[in-house]
Amino acid sequence: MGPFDPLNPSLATFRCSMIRVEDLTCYYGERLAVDNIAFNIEKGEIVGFLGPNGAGKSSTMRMVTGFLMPTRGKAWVADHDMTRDSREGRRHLGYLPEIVPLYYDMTTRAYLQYAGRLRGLDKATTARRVDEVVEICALQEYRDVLLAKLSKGFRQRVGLAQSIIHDPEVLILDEPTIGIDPIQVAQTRQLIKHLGENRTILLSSHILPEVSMVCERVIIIHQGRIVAQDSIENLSSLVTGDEQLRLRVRGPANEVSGVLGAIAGVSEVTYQEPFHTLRVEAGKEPQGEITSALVAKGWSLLSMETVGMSLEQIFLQLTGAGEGAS
Amino acid sequence: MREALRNTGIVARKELLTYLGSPMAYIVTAVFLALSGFFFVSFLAANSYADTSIAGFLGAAQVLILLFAAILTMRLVAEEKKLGTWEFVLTTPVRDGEIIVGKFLGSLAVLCGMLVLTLYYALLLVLFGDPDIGPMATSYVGLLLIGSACLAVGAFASTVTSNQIVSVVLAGGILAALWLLGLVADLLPGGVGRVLTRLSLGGYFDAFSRGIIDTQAVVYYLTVTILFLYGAVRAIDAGRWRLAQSQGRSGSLALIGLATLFVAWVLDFVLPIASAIVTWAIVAIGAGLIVANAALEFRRVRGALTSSRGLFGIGTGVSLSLVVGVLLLANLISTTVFHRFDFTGLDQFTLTSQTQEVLRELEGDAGALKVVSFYSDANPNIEGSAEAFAVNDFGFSLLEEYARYTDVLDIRREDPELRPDLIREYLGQSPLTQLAVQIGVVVFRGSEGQLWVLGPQIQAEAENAFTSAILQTTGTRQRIVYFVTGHGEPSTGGDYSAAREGLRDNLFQVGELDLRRLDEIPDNASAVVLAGPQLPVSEREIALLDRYLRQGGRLMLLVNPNPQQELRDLVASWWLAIEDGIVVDPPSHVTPNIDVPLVDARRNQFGLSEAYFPGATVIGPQEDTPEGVRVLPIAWTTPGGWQEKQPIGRSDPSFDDGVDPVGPLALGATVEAPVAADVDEGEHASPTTRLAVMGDSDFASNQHFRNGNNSELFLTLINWLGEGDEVISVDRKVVPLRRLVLGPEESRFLNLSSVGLLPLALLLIAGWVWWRRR
Repeated sequence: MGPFDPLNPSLATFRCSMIRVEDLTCYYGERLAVDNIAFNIEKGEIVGFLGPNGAGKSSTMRMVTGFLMPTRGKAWVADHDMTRDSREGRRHLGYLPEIVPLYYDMTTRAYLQYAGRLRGLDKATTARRVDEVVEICALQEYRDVLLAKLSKGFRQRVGLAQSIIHDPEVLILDEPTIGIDPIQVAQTRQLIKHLGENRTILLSSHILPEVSMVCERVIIIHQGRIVAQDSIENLSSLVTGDEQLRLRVRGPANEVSGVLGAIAGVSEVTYQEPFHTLRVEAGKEPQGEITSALVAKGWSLLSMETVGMSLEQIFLQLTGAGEGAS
Repeated sequence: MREALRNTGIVARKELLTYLGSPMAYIVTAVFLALSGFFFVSFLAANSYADTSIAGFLGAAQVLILLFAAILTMRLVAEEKKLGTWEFVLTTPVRDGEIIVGKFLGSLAVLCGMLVLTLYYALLLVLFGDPDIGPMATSYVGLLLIGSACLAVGAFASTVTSNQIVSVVLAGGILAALWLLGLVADLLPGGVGRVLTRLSLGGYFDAFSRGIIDTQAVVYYLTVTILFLYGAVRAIDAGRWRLAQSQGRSGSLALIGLATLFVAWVLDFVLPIASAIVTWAIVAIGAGLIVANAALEFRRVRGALTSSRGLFGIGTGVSLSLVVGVLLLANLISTTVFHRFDFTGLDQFTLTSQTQEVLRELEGDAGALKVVSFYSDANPNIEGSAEAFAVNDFGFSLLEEYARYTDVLDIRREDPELRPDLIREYLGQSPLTQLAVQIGVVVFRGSEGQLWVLGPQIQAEAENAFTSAILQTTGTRQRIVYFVTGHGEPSTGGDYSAAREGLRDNLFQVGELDLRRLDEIPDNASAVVLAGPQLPVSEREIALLDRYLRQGGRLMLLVNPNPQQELRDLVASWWLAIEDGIVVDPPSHVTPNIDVPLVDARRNQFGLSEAYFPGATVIGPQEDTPEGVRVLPIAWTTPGGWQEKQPIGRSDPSFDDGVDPVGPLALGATVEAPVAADVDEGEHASPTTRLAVMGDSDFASNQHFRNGNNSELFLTLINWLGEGDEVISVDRKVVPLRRLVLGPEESRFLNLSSVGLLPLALLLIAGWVWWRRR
């Protein structure tokens, strides 16, 4: 796809790209942090931005938000060139940086008010929106508490509240669940999912389940380069072409593993209570043989389902491959 | 624009609330107030309360404010960077400039609050004295301006680092360097020194504390403020680009233009005024280059000025050149077109247009006219010492105003106790020296001689005295004494040369006047002398002199016995009578000549101990003088003297009762009369006529001039005639002496409350804020 032509509105309504990045490159002095990456996120998508620490996720997000200027290339938010009129782009943008930006001497309410006013809301709207986001982020009890006294999880929520105070079309969240306890992680994920119902979200994380749970699509970045971007299902096949079967069998686990491993088309068997997971070679459909083999042994098959490859596996394979290649 | 104001306001409000919500600002302010309060009261005490100014506070504040600003602003941006909130702020749709200006205004509001608290000192002065409000008001304007400049420097320092300590050190360093430039400038001669003085932060403040608002100073402080705020905005953008390599050469023209403007600005100080055309030509070239560059790069420049993407985006310096260029131009213009607004109660520091003109036209090498102001610090043990100090301090401030208009003046102030060598050099050693030092004295020493202006004179008519002294000691304009010639009078080149020397030593010019060729006496005559004519003076000439007198002229007439009738008639119309005969005074004469009466201190108007008149006639005051006319004898004989009507031969003259008038007889008289109402205003030389007539012309001749007190008599009469005829006449402004009236209780209250009250209150607030936050 060529660069977007702002003089052709028909194309704009047709494609409706909310975040677009081209040839984006970022040097910190001599060090190359982001190397010539490009992607496009359309309206309503929730996209995960995945990569190990130091892969260039935050740098990319900072360039998209206009906090940093790219050494080369461009980023557009809601069709505004972030290297030229980033201010217009920033109006459509909510951003939660990796380090939650909090003034610890302010109360939740004062902070959210300040954020709302800075984002261009008038006083009345700000007051209304503060109440709304406090409710959305479940911060009612902490409305008048100094931010310094909030726990990590609540600080994260305040950060999130700040980013949606002006009801932005585009939300950019840098590691929104980092460092908070599991229960709060689950709640935060729910929240993000809820927010994504009517917004475009770019979410970075190095915690894979989070991405696979929340996002429809992932962009995997490693050492400043995009190594893969697609939906999670497509990625699974992209990586190996293999599929996986997950079985629950009533029988001695070791023996079951042996029998299953012997079936043609099954390349690998792993057991993790209570499931056996089989990797199936591409194009093979060994389900029938599996059933008959189990029946022959007198073990009962409680369940069998086809599953895609886990994001961890894809991720490890991709990044590992990247390392191998370089 | 509206949005910009709104955003700036939001940021400013938040910053102010942050300051108010943390103990730091209160503690810093408390320390500031404690120190400035201490200096405020100790200055008053040092001057025995013969002062109602906040000078002590100002002296401390203008230095403290540097430190205060550096500490107050350190957190502005550096803290946000450390907290990570900087990323939040910069990704909201707020311009960099709005953020910086907002933060700056927030800190300025704190500064304003602090200054408002110091108004307590002013309040105390109003309660216990009658201070001049004008200088106080302008001092606060000055503090606000210098404070703004310091806060802008601090904001800049805070923007370029994420460490608050580094920010304080950097801001303190920049401010100290700007401040110290002034001290370095004093050591460097000529143009370089003047450039540095103009760049120095402290060089402008004194005028404000004196009650003057100088547009140059305002432009300078605003320039520093804008420059550093702009620098901070550029620093934000530089951070965004990680100081990315500049990408183009499109700003090179503008940068050359900028350099050209800077050269012009420096030249403006180095070159004499005559080269102004050269300077402005260079300015035109520089400005032209920048404008040309901006026109060529119009789109980029517009982008640079309207979006957050600036200097490093266009990579050129066009935007930098525009901003710095405009500021430089403003400063350049302000050095030529400036105005000083005087807010003192009496416009004390506004030099009259006459004085300004005198100073501008003053010729001579730089520093050719030495002006030394001698006075020591107020000594509480000496009565009136504090007042003398205040008057002389004012005098020196006024001289500093003088020095702004010319570099011929070399002004300095010296403490006579520390520099006895200078006392000897400038004041010599006489009983008068001691008195002069005590009441304060300013010595003007130029190519034509030297003059003293004493403390009381400064208080009464400082500008008049100073300007006259400058005119006279530089020989620019002097009082002229004209000697009438053409009737065999002793000439100033001949028999009156000693008198001429005496006049010159007293800074009079001496001229000759041939009345036969003139229709009227020259306007610039300080006095006209007609001394001992041997040939008849024509009626026309006498009419000329009479008309001169009636218009307020000043005439000294020295006649010898038995003058021509026309001169007697002239004198008679001024209530004096000359009779024939020669004065003999046997009880008091210069032996062996009985016809040389000797006059002692009891027998003359001026208390001169010894004067004599070889061959004198009587100048008799008439009995009935109209009201307003004052006729006084100058000197008179003993009762044993008489006027001998017989010619004096070989034998001793003898008194002929009934024929010879008997002593005491007046040997001379002064007449002072108001100018008649029917004389045309325009013809007035002065509102009063003064006439001095002596019955002898020989006492001022070379043979006798230096003897006894003859020279003093002559010069005193000339001075009396010339009085009120200053070389320049400007409005007299008497410096009011203001003092605080304090009882012991009140003085203790003043001291304690100034130093302690406000700081204590602020520390309490700080504690409360801290406790609440916990």
